[in-house]
This record gives sequence, structure tokens and C-alpha cells, in this order.
Amino acid sequence: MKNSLFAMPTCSPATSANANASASIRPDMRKFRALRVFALLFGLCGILSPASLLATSDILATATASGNSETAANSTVASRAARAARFPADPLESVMWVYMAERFFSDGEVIFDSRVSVVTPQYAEDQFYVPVTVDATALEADGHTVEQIVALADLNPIPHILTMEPHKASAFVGFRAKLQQSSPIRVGVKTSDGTWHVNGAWVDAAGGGCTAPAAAHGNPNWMRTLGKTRAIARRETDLLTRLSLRMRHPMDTGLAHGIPVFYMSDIKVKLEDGTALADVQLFEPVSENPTLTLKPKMAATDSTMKVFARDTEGNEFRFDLAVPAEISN
Amino acid sequence: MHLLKHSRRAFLKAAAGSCACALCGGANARVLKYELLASEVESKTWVVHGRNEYFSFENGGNIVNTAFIEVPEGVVVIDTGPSKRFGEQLLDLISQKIPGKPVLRVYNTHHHPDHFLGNQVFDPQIIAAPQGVIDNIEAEGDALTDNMYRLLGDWMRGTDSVAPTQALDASQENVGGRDFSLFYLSGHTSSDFVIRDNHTGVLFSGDLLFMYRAPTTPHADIGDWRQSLAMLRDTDRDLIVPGHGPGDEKGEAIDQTLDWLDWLDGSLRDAVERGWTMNEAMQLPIPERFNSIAVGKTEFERSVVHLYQKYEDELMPAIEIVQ
Repeated sequence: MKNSLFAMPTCSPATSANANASASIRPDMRKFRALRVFALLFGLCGILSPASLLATSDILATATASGNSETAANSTVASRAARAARFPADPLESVMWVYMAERFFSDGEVIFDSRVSVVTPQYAEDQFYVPVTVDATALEADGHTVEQIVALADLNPIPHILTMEPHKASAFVGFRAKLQQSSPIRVGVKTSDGTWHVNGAWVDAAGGGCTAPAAAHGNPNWMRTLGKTRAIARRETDLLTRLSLRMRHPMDTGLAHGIPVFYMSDIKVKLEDGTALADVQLFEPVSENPTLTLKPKMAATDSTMKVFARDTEGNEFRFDLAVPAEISN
Repeated sequence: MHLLKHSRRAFLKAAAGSCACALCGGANARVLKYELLASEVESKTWVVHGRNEYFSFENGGNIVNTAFIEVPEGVVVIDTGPSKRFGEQLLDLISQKIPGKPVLRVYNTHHHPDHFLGNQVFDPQIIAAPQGVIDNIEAEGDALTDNMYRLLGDWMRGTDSVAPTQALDASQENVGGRDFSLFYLSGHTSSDFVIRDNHTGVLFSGDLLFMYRAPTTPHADIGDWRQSLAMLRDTDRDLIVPGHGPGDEKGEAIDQTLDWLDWLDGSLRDAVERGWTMNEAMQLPIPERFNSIAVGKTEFERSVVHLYQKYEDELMPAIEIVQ
């Protein structure tokens, strides 16, 4: 109980960030607050993050309604079917698909689209580091403008992994995620016409990736390496570069016993004149020491990219990276 | 009459059951048995060869080489397989081949679950390994066992992680009238134990050597591994029994393992220097010369995850940050 109480206040800063990402559930805040009190009473905060609470409030409401009488149950079944009918059937057959679609993709038409390439291994060799590479450049080749790439793990206690906005970058992002159990890795790509192009793949996993303490906590001085960065910038064509970066951060989910939520929440890449190349919002399931691979669009005359990062405690990290003019393969 | 009817029903049920089993050929319907075969690779030295595969319900985890040797006063066992069930069936096989002699010593070559989870069926007091192997089993044995249950299901029933009780550090040991040379190496894991029977010259390399099967790297340090291979190359022996794959008289297992590690090392360095994602690295083609190496693609993909961050630490330039 002591640990739960200790963890409670630090849940709050992250709430706003998560609530932004789940605007569709926001009107329900009163119910959410009541649930949070309920959760605190039963010492649940240590195991339920704000993000999962938001999702759970919806599920609990449905469950309560269905438990009352047969009529209520029938109407719930009916409304569930009606809700499901809003979205195309999930080729991955995930039980969480409708919830994921309602929460993340409800503001536009949803189609499953093989032009969104989501590459993951079939089996998570390491549930703390599941590599994912998303490439939606085929949509761009077909004339679409990609506005957002949203990556989810349906069956994680916190499903939202990251959102990437390729302002002046290819619709491409590589990252690593933690998996709590076998789950679909799902990616929605929003194009400027408002359509969500969705694809994904199941990843088999031993599990436990989100509730174990970060490796950093094995070292009492881990704060001293916070934000330490390794990065490579290369030029792939006259107009396209590749940035791979890795920053030291525990990416604490708040779900490991006694360790409050603490993660790198924003990484922005800009040109020297401030022009946005790509913005990435990261969430709890991104692996410890977040690693990102992006493809900013930079002319040969643009020789520097500027990277800004910030975590949930407001720590900020900045660095400049020289981009070679010559192409290397 | 009633009894007869009952037994007839039971008979029909059994017949239907076996019929269904024959139809689907499913492993689920039959009693889980490894069908272990011992081949006598040298006088009074038997190897139980596992399949050159990755863990699956179909193979029950029987992907590993275990061995037993008749020495003047008893039996020496090298590695115990992936499960309690395997250990039991290995013990049956030993008593068929060497009836009436007690098992005097069990060696564990390293802490990977396919090599030691049959320990349970042996007297803990005779199970021996270097302290490093014991420490690794104590630290990781339970988690490794959990994952084996997940991968192999009922094959694992009743299996627990049991660490050796005898920590070895001598370079020689006499067991039941036979001298064994003991080598304390590393690279495949932080502690790899190699045993040579000095009477027959058979060298049991554990997973420092793989033959016609891609090496696994979840705890590997390629630099240390190379050093261990160089040492094994200079070690007198008449026959190598690798951890996986057939016996080897010519040292081909050393060449194959080194060739794979060199290729893996070079490929991953190159991928990290190009800023590739792990997924992009996993798509690298496996060179044709490894066509005879089983599960190359699977093990390469696993190795990318095991090793990539070490290469990033080494090869990605550190960047000055402003806070």
C-alpha cells in the first residue's frame, strides 16, 4: 500500500499527455475520476497506469451494464455489434480491435491497407526490445500525404507505443517496444484525406516486458547517464537522410513495483532554421533507452539537423547532428 | 451383460481415439515420448543426438546432444536434456545400454535449458559444473524453465530447474577409474565447460561448437568465443561431440562455428554503421555457403536481437548533448 500511495502523485503529470491521445474518451472524465478514487482505495494505482485506466473505464462501464439483466445484456451485445460495424473486421482477429479503433482511429474512415508495411519478428526474442519498422512510403508513392503514424500493441496494459508526424520526412519510423504478452503490433497511418490506413502483425512473446523494472535501476547512479545519446546521420539520396539515435532513459512504465512512471515523451527533429522535419511522441511501451530511426528529407545544402527531446519530468536534451553531403549506402 | 457392454464401449472409445490419432497424426493424442536413440560413437561412449531444429511442440525440445560413458566403476553423463521427461527417458536408455552400473557423475556444459533441465532425475550430489554455470543456473534457471513450458507445453510437465551442487575448478578429475580433462571457457555463455575423456580422446564441447546447425547467441560474447575456438583447435582430441549436430573427427565444427560467428559479427557491424533498424538487418540474406547449416535464418534473426545493442554501444558515435 505504501508503494501504491507513493506512486500515485507521479501518475498525474502523465495523465494530460495520455488524455490528449485519447480524446474520444475524454468526456467521460467524471467516471474516470470516480474510478481513480476507487482504484486508489483498493491500492490499484501501482498496477494501473492512467492510460490503462482510461481504457478500462470504458470496459468496466460496459461490463457493469451487461451484468444487470438480460435486457441490458442484449442491448449491450447489440451496441457492441453496432460499434464493431463502424470498422472493418480485423484481419488479425484481436479482441481489442474495436476498442483500439474507437480510441485511436475514430476520427476518420478506417481501412486495412497493405501499403503500410509493419515489419516485426514473429517471435519476441526479448520482450523488452521488440523491433518494429514501419514503412508507409508506398502511400506517398500513390500520391497520399501522410500526417500521422500511430503504433499500438493491442494487448499491452498501455497500448499506445508512439505517434510520429513526418512533417518533412519519409513515412518511415523504426523503434523498439516492450510487450507484456503476445499481441498484435498495429499501426495506423493517417493521410491528409482523413483516412486511417491500418496494418499490423502478431508478435508471440513470453511476456512481462511492461511490469519489470528497467535495467537502469540495477545501477544506483543511473540518473547520471540520463539522456546520454548515440546517433548516426547518413545521406541516402540527394533529398533523403537517415537518422538513427539512441538516448539513455529508463522509460519506466509505472507498472513495475514501486517505480513511478518516467519516460522520454517527445523527440523533435528540425532543420537549422527551425523547420520541423519529424515529431515523435513516445509513450510507456517504448523500450528502455529509446532508439529511433527516421528518414528526414533534407537537401544536400542542409548540413545540420537539430534534435530536441523532453521527458515526463520536464528534462530537456538537445543536440545538433552534422549530415554529410555525400551519399553513402 | 452390463459389464460387457461397458467394456465394449471402452474398447470402441479407445479404438476411435487411436483412429483419430492416426488420422491427424497429432502429437497431442499420443503419450509424449522422445524415442531416444543412443549411438555408440566410441567404445562405451554413447551420444543421444537431438534434431537440428529450434524448440517446438513437435520435437519436445529434443534438439540437443547428450552423452553417457561407461567408466570402470560406473557411468558419466554429459548434459541432461530439456525436461524431466527427457531425463527419465535418458536414464532408461542408460540402464539399457549399461545395466547395473550406477551413474557416478553428471556434468552440465552450460546453463541453457536444453542442456540441464533433465538434472532433476539424478542425485543432486553427483551433478557438477564450474561455479559460473551454477551461478547462471541459479540466476536464470527458473525464467528459462518458464519459457520452456510456454514453448513445449506438456513435454515439460513436472520439470524444475535444479542447479549442480558440485563446483569444479580442477583441470582433471578421476571418475570411477577414468581420467577426464576439464576446460573452463566462455563465449557461448559467460561460463562454458568442456570435458575430454582422456581414455578415448572424445571431447565434449557443449555449445561452443555447432555442426550443421547455426550457433545460438542469447548470452554470447563473440570475442571470447573466438578465443575459446582457438583454444579448442589446439586441444588434442580424437573426436568432437558438439552441443548440436553430428560427431566430428576433423575439427569441421570449429571451422563452421567460427565461419558463422565471423559472418554474423561482420554483418551486424555493417548494419549498425549504416544506421539500419534491427528489422532491416534481419532481412540480410544468409550466404549460400551456409545452405547446409540448419535454422540459419531463425538463429540469425534471434542473434540480431541478442547482439545489436552491444554493437550500437561500440559503433554509434556518442553525441554531446545540451541539457
